[in-house]
Amino acid sequence: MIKRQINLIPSEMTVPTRIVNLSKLIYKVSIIGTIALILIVITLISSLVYFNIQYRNSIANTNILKTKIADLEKSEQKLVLAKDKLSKIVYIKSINSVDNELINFQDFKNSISSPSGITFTEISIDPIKTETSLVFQNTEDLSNTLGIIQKLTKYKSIILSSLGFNLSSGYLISLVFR
Amino acid sequence: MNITKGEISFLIKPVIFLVVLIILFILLISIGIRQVTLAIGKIDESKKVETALNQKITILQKVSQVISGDTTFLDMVVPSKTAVLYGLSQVKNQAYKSGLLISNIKTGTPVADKNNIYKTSISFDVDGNEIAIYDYLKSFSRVIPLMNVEKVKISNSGSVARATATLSVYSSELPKTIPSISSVAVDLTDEELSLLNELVSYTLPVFAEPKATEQQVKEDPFN
Repeated sequence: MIKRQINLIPSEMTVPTRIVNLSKLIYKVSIIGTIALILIVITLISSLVYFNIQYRNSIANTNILKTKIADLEKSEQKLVLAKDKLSKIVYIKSINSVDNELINFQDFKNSISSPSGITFTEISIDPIKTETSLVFQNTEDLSNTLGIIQKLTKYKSIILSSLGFNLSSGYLISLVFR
Repeated sequence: MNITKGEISFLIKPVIFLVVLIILFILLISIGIRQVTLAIGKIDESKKVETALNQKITILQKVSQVISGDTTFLDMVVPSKTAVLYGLSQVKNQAYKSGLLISNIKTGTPVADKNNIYKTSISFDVDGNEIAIYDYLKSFSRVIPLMNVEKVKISNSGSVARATATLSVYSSELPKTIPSISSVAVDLTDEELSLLNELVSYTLPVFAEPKATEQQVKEDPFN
């Protein structure tokens, strides 16, 4: 027996096939979208849970490390003190002292030392300059010394501030080494 | 293309469903991504702190090996207290070693310098052999506490020379605060380590240690 489909709805009330197809398509898209939405929700929640666990682990590790650092408090005190003192030591060592002037002047003095003819009366040394006065009994010692002074390379300038002659002591010169 | 009322009412349900879905999608994506980004940011920050703390532990363990003893030695190089006493000890001990005679010792009051450092001057006269005086004055560049020869006048009178010298001895207060636990620790640099090694070779001040008097055994008057 052949089945017959009978449609009793009036033809003006029937929904066109394209609208039915569009509705079906929208439903299909909606269902796929719902599934995707559920998957995204699951992914987001699980990743948030994962990140939260990781964060908690990291916080726990940080707390353990902080306890370790608290145990090393003495070492930290040493480090802070050492850093502080060393920075100050570096500064103090950078302050000018007379050391270089002393060495340079001693070298000069050693180079001109004459057993009898030359006398250093007074030497004044500070970090910037050295002032001295020399007495010569004869012109030969004077000219030899001036020759040595001319060849000195350790000073930027050497000023002959005075030159005098006295019958009793001899030639007197005052020098400023910078 | 004309759409009838019947067609609209037929489509309205799935369209509303789709629109709600799209709105939910947008909300979920925006909120979800923001939350995930925040969580990743928190983890990154926490990891950074973790790394810094790990580095700090390594540095502190290394420091405890490098500076194995206490830091009294460093506190003597630039003392926080009694710098002048240490300085005077060096002035006298170095002179004694060189066979020189010290007189007219005068000390000044501490004067504030840069970097929370205080400078106190010590002036004195020293008599003796001229070469020994030069060596004596140069020896202050390698003594503890750190001292500086500021100026010197040397005069000769026959075989004996006399120098009038002014030295500076430096002092500094100890640091008053310790950085917080989570702060970054900076390791000692190579320059600082070599400076530490250099300082070890410097001459320390010498102080006489008072000896305890020996207990005398009293005689028993009854035996």
